[in-house]
Amino acid sequence: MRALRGGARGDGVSAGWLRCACRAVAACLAVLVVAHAARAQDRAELRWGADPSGGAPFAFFDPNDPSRVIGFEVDIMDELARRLGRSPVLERADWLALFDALEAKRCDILLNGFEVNDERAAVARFSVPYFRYGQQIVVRAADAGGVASLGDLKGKRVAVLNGSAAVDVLREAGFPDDAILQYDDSLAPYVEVRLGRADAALAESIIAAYYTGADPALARAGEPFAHGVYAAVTRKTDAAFAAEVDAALRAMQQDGALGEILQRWGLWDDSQLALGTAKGRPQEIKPAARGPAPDAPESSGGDAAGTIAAAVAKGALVTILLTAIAMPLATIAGLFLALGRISPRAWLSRAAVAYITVVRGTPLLVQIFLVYFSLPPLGQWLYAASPGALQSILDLAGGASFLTFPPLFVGAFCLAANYAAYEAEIHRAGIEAVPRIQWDAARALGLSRGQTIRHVIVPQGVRIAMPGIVNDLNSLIKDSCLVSVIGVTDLLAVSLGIGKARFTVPEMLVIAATVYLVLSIAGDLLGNWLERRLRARGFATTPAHAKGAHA
Amino acid sequence: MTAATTTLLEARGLTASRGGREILRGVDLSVDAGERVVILGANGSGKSTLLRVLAGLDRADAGTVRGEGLGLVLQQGALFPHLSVLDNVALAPRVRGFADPAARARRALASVDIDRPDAMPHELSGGQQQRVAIARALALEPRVLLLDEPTSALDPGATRDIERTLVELSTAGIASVIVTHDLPFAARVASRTLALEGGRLSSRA
Repeated sequence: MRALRGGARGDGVSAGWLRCACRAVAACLAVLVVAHAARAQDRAELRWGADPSGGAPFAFFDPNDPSRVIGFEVDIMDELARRLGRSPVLERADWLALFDALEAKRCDILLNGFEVNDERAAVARFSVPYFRYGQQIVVRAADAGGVASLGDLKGKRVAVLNGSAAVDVLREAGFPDDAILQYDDSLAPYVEVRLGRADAALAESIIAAYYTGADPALARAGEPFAHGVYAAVTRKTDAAFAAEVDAALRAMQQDGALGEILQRWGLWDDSQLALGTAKGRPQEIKPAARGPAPDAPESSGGDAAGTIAAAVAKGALVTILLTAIAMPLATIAGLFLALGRISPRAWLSRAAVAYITVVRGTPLLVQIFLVYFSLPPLGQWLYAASPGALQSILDLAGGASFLTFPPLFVGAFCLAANYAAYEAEIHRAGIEAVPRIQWDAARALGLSRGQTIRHVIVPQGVRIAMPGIVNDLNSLIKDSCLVSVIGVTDLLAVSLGIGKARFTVPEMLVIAATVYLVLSIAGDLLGNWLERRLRARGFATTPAHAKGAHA
Repeated sequence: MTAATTTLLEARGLTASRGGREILRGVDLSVDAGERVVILGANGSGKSTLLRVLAGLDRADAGTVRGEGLGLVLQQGALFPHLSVLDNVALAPRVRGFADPAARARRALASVDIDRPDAMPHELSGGQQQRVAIARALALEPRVLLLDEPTSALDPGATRDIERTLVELSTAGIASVIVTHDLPFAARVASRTLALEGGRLSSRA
């Protein structure tokens, strides 16, 4: 920041900080690329897909240590990977997007309560089943007497998990679509029943058991029915891998390993024998399988609060990291977009306008999904289409998966690309606010158009644009939560995960909102400080001679 | 700067129009070393356009300009508000790759009597800003300075300073073409006075 003191050197403050920001961003990118390449080299990993925010007891955030994902499927995958000689790595994604993640080769296998059905079997391959479930009706305890089967729920509203087998069961039973309330996670249907917005919840019995076991306000009505099975999912093109998985799962069924896992999670019932699953040796039920104990002694509260605070802090760090990568990138890219837009070269100007229009005109959420799921196939296609020499270079960066970047990277990139379009408009307004006579003065001194822009126009335009950019920094901090849909464990994802695991969603949302507020105030302070630095020594946004025009 | 009779700037038959109106209708102008040519004219008579055409900032519809080392000083200086006084003056020499731009800038500032190189433009008075603008042009070592209304909005003291600066420069051989409607200033500074009327230049006594 030496140039700010108006020393003999340095032709503009902006050049200094711009260079500084560019270097920081480049360093971040380099680290990410190296980490990405290193990861791609590791072939001993078994990448499996699941949605821990979906709920217990499948794969979910440990209520007592939200930085860990636990569940009976986590235990099955640990054992399966061990038998395949690989180490399991969880790839998170929204439950309904997991099939896309599999297709995009972000992971090689899904194991997350996928009910075997024809639609899914048409696009992917199911393994041998690992669990037999039934549908369980849950109602408010006060209504329990009058409900024994679906027939007793005619004309009532039934809450279900979005896209689950319960939806098909209700449709087949003749329930109209507006009586089927679909929610994105397993806990929400029960919350809705308790609050009276739904009359009943229908879900697989093991979900019902976990979420209603400890809640006196809810009661299971009737026996489980409409049985089905869960199975792991692999790509149709990976026949050899699928055969390995089947063999390992079959062995786990027969030697009792699977039965013992189910016992430990309190999920064993003798109907599993029908799948060929042996019960194995008797097992103790894990404490975690009983759900977050509502009658836990108060003394453990302090401990839990500590781990929750640590998890929230980690989530907040991810949010800060996303913002810290995305905002400088967006500001710099936006500047170049704005310069492209005012360029006398028509094609450049049109390209910039097209980019700005498309990006500002489509939802950020859609952009994140599209980029996340189209990069891997694009990379595979490019790799296949490359000549051998280029392929051997790409092999250093992960071969066919060279565009399969981690979610955090893709998330930060999408946020930057989206905000760049908005910053471009702010920069353009700033550049256009620089008086025309400044261009004349620079030209009269023999500066080229490029030199004028770089040394005279941009340094002034950026200062004028600064308040708008600081304002966008504030909204980016909050918009960054959208990347949780591709599995980034940011502040919101962590808070929701803990909330769902501990039945404290409202409380955790208040905590998350408070942390966002603190971050946004900190962002404002940082922005105002930056503005002051740029305005140091009284640079006036509207210089006196702005009014002076030539005749 | 020995040959006092060297012609530094020669314009022939300049015509220019703005918004469909012909503003210059065949302007001839020749400036010799050390001259201080004042061009008077009413607002909108095309004085600024003439300077911009001479400086190459605007295009003429017809006519030729021959001249080397022309330095244009715009109205009210048009300093770069984000740069210190020294950086304002040193920017063009540095960007254009001249040797030792800071030393050039210091020399140029000394020749207009400005001794606050680290000040920001807004910290200076109007007259000082105008002189920094002149120094900014001088740093490129022009042989003719073109000045657009150099004394507009200046108090009498500051006007005197500009006047003294221009006279000193002319004794060093640097000619100036000054567009103004400040008659007393014109009378004191001019070695030759011209009037721009009806798109043509005519001499005045």
